[in-house]
Amino acid sequence: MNGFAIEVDGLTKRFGALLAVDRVSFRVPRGAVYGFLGPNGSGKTTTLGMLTGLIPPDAGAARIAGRDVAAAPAEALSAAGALVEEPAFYPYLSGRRNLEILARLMGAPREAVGATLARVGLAEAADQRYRGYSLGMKRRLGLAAALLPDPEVLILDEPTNGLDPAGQLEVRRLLRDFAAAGRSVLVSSHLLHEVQETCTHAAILRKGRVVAEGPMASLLSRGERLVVEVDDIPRALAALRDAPGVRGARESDGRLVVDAAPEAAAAVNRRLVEAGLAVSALARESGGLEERFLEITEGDG
Amino acid sequence: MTHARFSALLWAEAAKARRQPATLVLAAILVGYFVLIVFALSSVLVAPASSGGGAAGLLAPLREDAVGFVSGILSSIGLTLLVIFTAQTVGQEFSRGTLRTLLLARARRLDVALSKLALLGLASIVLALFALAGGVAGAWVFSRVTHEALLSVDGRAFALLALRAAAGFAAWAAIGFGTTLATRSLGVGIGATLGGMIAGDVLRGLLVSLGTAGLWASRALPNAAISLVSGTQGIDASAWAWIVPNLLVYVVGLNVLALARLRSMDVIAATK
Repeated sequence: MNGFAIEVDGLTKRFGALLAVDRVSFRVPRGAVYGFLGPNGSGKTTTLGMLTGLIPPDAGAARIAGRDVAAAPAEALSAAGALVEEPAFYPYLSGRRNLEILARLMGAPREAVGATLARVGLAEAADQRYRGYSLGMKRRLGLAAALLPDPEVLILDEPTNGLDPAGQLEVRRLLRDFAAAGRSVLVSSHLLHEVQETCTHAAILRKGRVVAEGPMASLLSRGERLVVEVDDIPRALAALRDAPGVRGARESDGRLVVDAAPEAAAAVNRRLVEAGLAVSALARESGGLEERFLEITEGDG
Repeated sequence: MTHARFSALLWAEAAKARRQPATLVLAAILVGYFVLIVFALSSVLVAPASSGGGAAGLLAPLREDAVGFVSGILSSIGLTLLVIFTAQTVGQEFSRGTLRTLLLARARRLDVALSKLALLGLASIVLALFALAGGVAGAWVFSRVTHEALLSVDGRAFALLALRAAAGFAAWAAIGFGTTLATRSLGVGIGATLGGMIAGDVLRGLLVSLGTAGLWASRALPNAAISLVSGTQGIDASAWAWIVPNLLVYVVGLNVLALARLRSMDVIAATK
């Protein structure tokens, strides 16, 4: 067995004329919390659906803990707990009864049901019928179903949707604790600050394709730029035109923002000084995941 | 454990069927209908002949075979309720999205379908036993109120009738199952199956009235085969020669197609 909890190679899915997922590939290392980001309709849920055997792919392969999903989806899920799309349970049964049915299917001990309900904060509402649950409680029960078999890998589609801020914080903590125990998480989310805080790795999807992928630190460093305080910004902009390592420059709030790698800082400084400009400050700045995400997915819905 | 055991799925199906309110409602309709027909027929049986209405003629078949008469009525309503139960059992897994939850809980698609078919088989047996027991109970009540010997039960014949009735129920339930699964729609499952039952019976009657050629043509309908299998008349070898292919096409063929569709189905889109 290799060091990856999840391996996705070239997954492709077409719905009629729409190419929903186009040769998507990524790997989730063991012990990682892997964020799966993308605008609405970018193919996140379809990819998770193919990964969990709910949607047969047109091409490509996926493996969970080394087990091929297409060959035997139920067997591939034996190492995983998953929540894909909205939680769906039997409305006339209580939360506890719903989980008891799933525990039996998953081969989980019945005692695990109470403990899991308590873990997601549903102990008090465990015996209420599912139809009476709020959106947040339904989401918690979905999370409980994913955690019930004590899986090695957790696959979650927008797990904090419908949760209040305290609930979102609990889920983030839960994911971190889960990964700290050496297990792996693949989580799709549109809450970018949440992914930046929680995830060790991420992939960004745009129109069905992975456009950026890797460790979070590496993704964020690709969004770094230089911020310069200089006495004459128009002249500085002219001086940096065609400067090596500089991808672009603009004025922002009275400062010069230079789109360049941190390693180009000395060269930028030299070019400005040689042009007779007074540089009073030069610093690196990270745009954060949100800015990086918007850069990559600009123009999408 | 690598995947959900079939026995666990069977248990889950039974637990869901037992606890869902619709099952109780359907059972209550069946029991209520039984009480109503026994009460109504008892009233007619004890009504003075002078009250008119030609009741004596109408009641002749009842006096001839009270158990079969009541069982027949109960079977008609029971079959309709069974088709509704069947479509709910399958269709609601799609409309509620719970099929997705079962698959994520490591259930195999084929096992989910087969566990539901097993539940429907069990429901068919229970319904057949209820219809026949209802017939016996009705005949007993009629005997008490009329002081006539209307209750006669032959244990062996009872068992055979129960078996044949259950086979008929199971065949229609399987058709309802295949239709609902293939279309992923509770409404289409109920509509197409009940429509097929009613329209097929009407068409069969019309074809049979046309003579020998019509009789042969009517054998292309599932109604003809299922009616013969679940009825009381004997079936000879020549009849089996067309009954078996008929059932293979409508019951087995339809379900093979539906299961093949389930196997390659996009479950996320199916539950939207």
